[in-house]
Amino acid sequence: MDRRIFGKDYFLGLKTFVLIVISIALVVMDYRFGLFNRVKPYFSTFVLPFSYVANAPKKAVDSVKGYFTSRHDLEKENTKLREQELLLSMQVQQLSSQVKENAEQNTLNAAYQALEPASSNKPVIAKIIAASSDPLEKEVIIDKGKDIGAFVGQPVVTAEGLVGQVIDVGPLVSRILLINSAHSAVPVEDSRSGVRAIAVGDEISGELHLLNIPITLDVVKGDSIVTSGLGLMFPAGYNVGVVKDVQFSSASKFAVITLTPSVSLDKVRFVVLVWPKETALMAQVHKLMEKY
Amino acid sequence: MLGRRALTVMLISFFIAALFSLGVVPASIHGFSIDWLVIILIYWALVAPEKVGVFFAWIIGLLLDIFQFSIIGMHAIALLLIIYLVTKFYLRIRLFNIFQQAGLVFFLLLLYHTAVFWIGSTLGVISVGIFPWKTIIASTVCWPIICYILELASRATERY
Repeated sequence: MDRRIFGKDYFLGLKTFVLIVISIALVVMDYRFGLFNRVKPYFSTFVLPFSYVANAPKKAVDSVKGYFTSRHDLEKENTKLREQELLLSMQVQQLSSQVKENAEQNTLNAAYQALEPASSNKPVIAKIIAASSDPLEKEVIIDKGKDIGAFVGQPVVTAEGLVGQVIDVGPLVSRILLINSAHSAVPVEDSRSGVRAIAVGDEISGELHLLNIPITLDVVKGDSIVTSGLGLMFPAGYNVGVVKDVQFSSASKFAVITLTPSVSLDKVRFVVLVWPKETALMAQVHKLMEKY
Repeated sequence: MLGRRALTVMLISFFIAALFSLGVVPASIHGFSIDWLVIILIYWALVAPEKVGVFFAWIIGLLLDIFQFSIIGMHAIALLLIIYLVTKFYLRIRLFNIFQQAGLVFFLLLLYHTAVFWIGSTLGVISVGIFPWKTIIASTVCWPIICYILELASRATERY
């Protein structure tokens, strides 16, 4: 069996060549024809037990740390939470009046009559169980998948704002593209001036940029940027980020605008999957858009 | 030839490397992530080329593609290239001292990342402009340490 007397494998070159050819074929099949797109979600299920084992030591340390949280810390947290509750309940009061108003307007709105009832799907809380090991790939895996009816393109949010969108749905897990990925683009607007733009991620800095904003438009530092809902994928009004910096250069007609994401995307552990009403309109809108 | 116990050490080291590359290392020092699987693969290709050859490297490469959610076959090609070089010249490389070997590992990792980078940027799945220098250097520094630990582990298991 042993062909290598002095460690020589006579077929080494041939073997390597054949394997490289097979790999190139795989790359082409995956990239060009998307042959593995149907199986890829199942791959992430396969990675799941690994990531549980990999995260076990971290979890153990965290749980021990949590056990030793001192009474003082708890009291401090308690008062802080009480303050927050007060603040939030105040805001809820404000909101509820607006909700009522909105509901009345909505009943008048004929366009929404065709929609299925919005309560068909409640938001679902999901836990982030794994992150891509490549620091530049802004993708995470959550522990909810087809089992709760997640779909590709579904918006993912937290209480602070928009997190990203679902790009792969497995049987039990799904993959989320974060908004600070270079592959992600979110239609947004300036909540102060109403200027519309596209927010694209910058994976190196982990921040976002607003694309193609002419220097004459009204966007200034400190503005909060929210989803505009114009792409129909993300519902309107979720926080995306705060303008951190606006730069003008004489070489370009466009300003370079940097946003700090509202959600600390590398720390968030729990996210919420939502079912936007707008998705139901998508087919009709696409039909209209195609005419042009 | 590897004994059965050394074989166990090998499998365990691959398993641990797989766990490490899945992110036990906290995200804050993620810029310095280390190519655990690649280093372990180079080590065993040097020690036991009859067990860990190009085919083994290919399988590991496909697993890496699955782990990292990249295009299937991308890492496989890069790993094939460097493990081909290692198995072709392993007798010579074994004669190197540890620092020469570390230098070689540096160039192998450079080749590996260049290949991944090249394929990725051609397909447009990697953003152009960032080359993982930190990872390459950190991995090279780790090479002598990992060698030492694995040799110690193999010897300890052979004794009993």
